[in-house]
Amino acid sequence: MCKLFDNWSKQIKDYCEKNDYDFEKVKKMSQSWGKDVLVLQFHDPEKGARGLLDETPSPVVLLIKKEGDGQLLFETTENTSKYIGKVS
Amino acid sequence: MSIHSIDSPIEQRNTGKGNPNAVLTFGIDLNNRQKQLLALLTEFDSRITVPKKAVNMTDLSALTAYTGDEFALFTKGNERLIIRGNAVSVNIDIEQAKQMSKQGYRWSGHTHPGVDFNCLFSSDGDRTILKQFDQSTSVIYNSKGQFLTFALEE
Repeated sequence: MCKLFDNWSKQIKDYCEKNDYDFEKVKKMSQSWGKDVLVLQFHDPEKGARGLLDETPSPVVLLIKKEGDGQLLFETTENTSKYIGKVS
Repeated sequence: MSIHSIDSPIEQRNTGKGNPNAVLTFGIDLNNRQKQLLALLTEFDSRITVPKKAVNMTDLSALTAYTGDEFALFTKGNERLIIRGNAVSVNIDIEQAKQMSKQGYRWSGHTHPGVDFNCLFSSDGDRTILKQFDQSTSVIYNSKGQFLTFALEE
């Protein structure tokens, strides 16, 4: 779906392996993206029944930004281990 | 009322009028077509249909910068439906989304008031509404004209 995810897939997988995160879970996260940024969120299908009447953001699991030197910067959140940790 | 697409680009290039970030940061005025749109979108759940070229997501971002309210944009052929929300929501539930999808609308995007990057994050409600339309992505703009595209999970 998101070309950034596909393009950065190897680096994301490497990052997951180094930090004990489950890449298969990462692939299932909801994706939002801009020019040089990718946001992975956990979408709970049981929530959202009120549509746009409830705009509470879904939990952000991982932010990935491309730096000026081309390297990817990974930012974790308080939700990271919960949703993409290998043991949950 | 006629809202012309030509009102925006020239004004915006010369004066900053209608530029969301300029509206928000420097109190620059809306451009003429944005003013005309806002005059018709007076309160929560105001809805108007305009020609496709008469509005784009940057216009809605500017309106959000000016009002602090969300706006949602739907497109069917050469027409656009704009719905005004409030600071935290737009009156679109699952049933309305299903009906609009049946009528042939696509969800072009919506705005989230604010300037921080996290204003661009989608909600469970955003994705639930997106599922009702025959499309896989939509966009969220903040009050500065920044945006992210969000997608359904595969």
